[in-house]
Amino acid sequence: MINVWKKTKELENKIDQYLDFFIEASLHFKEGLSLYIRNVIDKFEEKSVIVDGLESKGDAFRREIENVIYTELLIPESRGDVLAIIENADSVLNKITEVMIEFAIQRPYIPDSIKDSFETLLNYTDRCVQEMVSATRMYFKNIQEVRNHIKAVMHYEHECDEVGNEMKKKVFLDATIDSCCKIQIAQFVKMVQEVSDKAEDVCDRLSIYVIKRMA
Amino acid sequence: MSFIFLLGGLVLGWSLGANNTADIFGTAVGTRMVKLRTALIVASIFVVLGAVLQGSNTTKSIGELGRINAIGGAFTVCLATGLTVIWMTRAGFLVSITQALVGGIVGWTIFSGDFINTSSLGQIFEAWVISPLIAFVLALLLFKLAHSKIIRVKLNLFTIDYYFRLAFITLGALGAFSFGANNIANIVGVYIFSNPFKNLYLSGLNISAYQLLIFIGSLSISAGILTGSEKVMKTVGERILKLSPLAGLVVVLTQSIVLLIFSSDIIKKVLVFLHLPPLPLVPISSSQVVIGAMIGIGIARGGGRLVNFGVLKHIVLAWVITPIAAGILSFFMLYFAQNVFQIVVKYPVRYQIDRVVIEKLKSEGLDTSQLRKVSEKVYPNGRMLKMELQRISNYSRGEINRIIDISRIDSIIVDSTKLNELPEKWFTPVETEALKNLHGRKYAHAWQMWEDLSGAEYFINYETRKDSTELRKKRELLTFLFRHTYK
Repeated sequence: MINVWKKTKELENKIDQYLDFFIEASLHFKEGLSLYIRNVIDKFEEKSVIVDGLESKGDAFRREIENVIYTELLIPESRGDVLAIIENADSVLNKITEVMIEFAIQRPYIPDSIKDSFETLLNYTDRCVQEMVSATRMYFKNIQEVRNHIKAVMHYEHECDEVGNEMKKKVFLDATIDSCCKIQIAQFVKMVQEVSDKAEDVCDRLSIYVIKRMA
Repeated sequence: MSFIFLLGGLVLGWSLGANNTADIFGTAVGTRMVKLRTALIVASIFVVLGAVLQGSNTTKSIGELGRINAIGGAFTVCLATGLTVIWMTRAGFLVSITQALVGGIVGWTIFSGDFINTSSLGQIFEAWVISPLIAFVLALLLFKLAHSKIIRVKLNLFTIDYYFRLAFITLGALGAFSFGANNIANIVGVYIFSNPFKNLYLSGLNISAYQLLIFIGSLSISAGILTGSEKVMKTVGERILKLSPLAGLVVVLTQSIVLLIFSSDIIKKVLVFLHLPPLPLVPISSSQVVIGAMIGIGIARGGGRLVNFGVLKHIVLAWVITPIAAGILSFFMLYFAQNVFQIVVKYPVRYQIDRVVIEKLKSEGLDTSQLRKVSEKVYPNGRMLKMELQRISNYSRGEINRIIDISRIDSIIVDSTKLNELPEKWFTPVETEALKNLHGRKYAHAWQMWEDLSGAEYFINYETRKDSTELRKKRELLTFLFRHTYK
C-alpha cells in the first residue's frame, strides 16, 4: 500500500504538471501572437518554439499518466472519464501549437484596424484556457467548484465568438484589403476562436463527468 | 473415527470460506478497488489469524452444533450443511451458512423425534426477515449521508481513491479476522472432546491439541476462500448492482453495524429502556444483511432502477431453499448414518414433569393445577409431551414451550475434571471454583445446575457484570460438557 500511496502522489503531481503546461502554453500563445501583430517576429518565433516544446512534453506526460492509471488500476469508477478529460484537454494544446505554427508559416497580414480587437480576442482566449484548466484541476480536487469555472469558460468562449465575428465583419467591410487577404485573415481569426471552442468542448464533457460523480 | 468425524467440520469450514468471503470482500472486488487475488490472500491469512489468535479464547463456545447430543449426529449435520452450501455456492447463489446450519439442526431435531422450540425458531425467522430490512434502511441513510459529505471533501480524486482502497483492505482484513474468530467454534467446537490431535512440542513450542484443531479448522475456511469463493464474490460485487467504491464501503460498514445490533446486549437494553421492541439476540446471516444494504443503496441512487431484480429473486429464493434443503439432506443423511453405517446420531431426550419442575413453574407464576394429570409421567420425546399438554390443558403456546423446556431431562453429572480439557481462560478461577464445588452433583434438568450456580455469589455478580449472551454461551457449553450421554 505504501507503494500505491507513492504512485498516487506522483500521479497527482504529474496531472498538476500536465495542466501547468496548458497555462504556460496559453500565456506564450497570447504573448507570441501579440508580438506577431506588433511585428516583433523573432520574439514570436521564440515563443512558437516554446509552445511546440510544451506540446511535446505534454504528450509525453499524458501518455505516462494514462499508463500509470491503467497499470495501477487506479480510480476504477472514474478511470474512463479521467482519461477522456486528459485526451480532450490535449486537443486544446494541439490547437494552440497548430495556430502558432500556421502563423509562423503563412505570416498573415493583420490590418491596424483589427489589432486592438485581436489583442482582446487573445486575452479572452487565454482566460478561457486558464478557466478550463482550473475547472479540470477542480474536478480532481474540489468537485463543487468545477461548475463556477465551467460557467466562466462559457462566458469567455462567447466573448471570443463576439469579438472574432466583429473582426471578420470589419475586415470584409474594409475595401482597402485584398479579397485574398480577407479570406486568410478570417481563417486565422477562426483558428484562434477554435482554441476557445476546444476549451468549451472539454468543459462540456467535464460537466457530464461532474454530474456522474455527484449523482 | 475422530478424524472422519472432523471431516464433517472441515467440509463445513470449506463451504463457509467459499461462501462468506463475498460478504467481506465482495464489494471491494466488485468495485475493482481490490484485486481478486489480493482479496483472497488477505482474507485467507486473516481468517486463520482470527481463528488462532482470537477464536480459541474469546468465543468460549462450542457453536450452534452443541445443541446436538451425539457427536455422530453433529458430524452428519455438519456434512449435510456443508454439502448443501457447496451445492448452492457452485450454482452461484449467495447462501447463508447460518440459515443452512439452523436448517440442519432442525433436521436433526425432527429426526431425533424431539420437540422443536417454535418460539426460539420463530425468533430466528423473525431476525432473518428484520435484519435485511434494517440493513436496507441503514445503508440507504448512510449512503445519502456519506455521499453528501464526500462531494464536499476537498481531497484529490486519487487521494480519495487511495483512502478507499486502504479502508477496503483494512475493513476486509478486520472482517476476515473476526469472521475467523467468530465462526471457528461452529466448525470445530463440537469436536473439542473427540479431538483426533495430540499435544505437540516443536522445539520448545508447546501447541495444544485444541490449538491444532482450531488451526486445521481455520485452514479449511482458508482453503474454501482460495478455491471456491470467486463465483459468489462476483454475484455480490457485480451482478446485483453496480456499486461505486463509496457504496461498497457503506455496504461493509452497514454489515458490521447490523451484526453488532443483533449480538449486543447493550443495544438490546437500550431498546428496552426506550420502550422499543428489542431485537432478538440470535444468529443472523451476514449475506442477507449485505443484500439488504445493497438494495438500500440501489434505491438511494436510482430509486431501484439500478437493482437487478432478476438476480435478487434468485437470491431470495436461495434464502428460502437453503434451510429447507439443509434440513431435508440432514434428515436423510442421519437416517443413512444411523441405519447403514451404524453411527450413533442421537441420544433419546426424555421429558418428565416431576415435583421440581412443578415447583419451578409455580415460582414463575404458572397455574400448575392443570399439570396434575401429566405429572411424574415420562415422555420419550418433547413432541409427545406437547401433544399431551395441548390435549389436556388450555395453556398458551409460550407457556407450553416453557413447560417443555423446563421438563427436559438433561441427565447432568458435574465432573469438574472435564474443565481441564477446555482451553485456558474459558472460565475464570472464580467460575472454576464455583463449578468445582458442585463436583459429583447430579441433576435431572440443566436449569437446576444454573440455580445452584446462581446461588453462588459469583453468578449474582456475573449477571450484572457480564453480558447475558456470554452467560448463555457458557450455559450451553456446560450442558454440553456435563450431559453424560454425549461422546
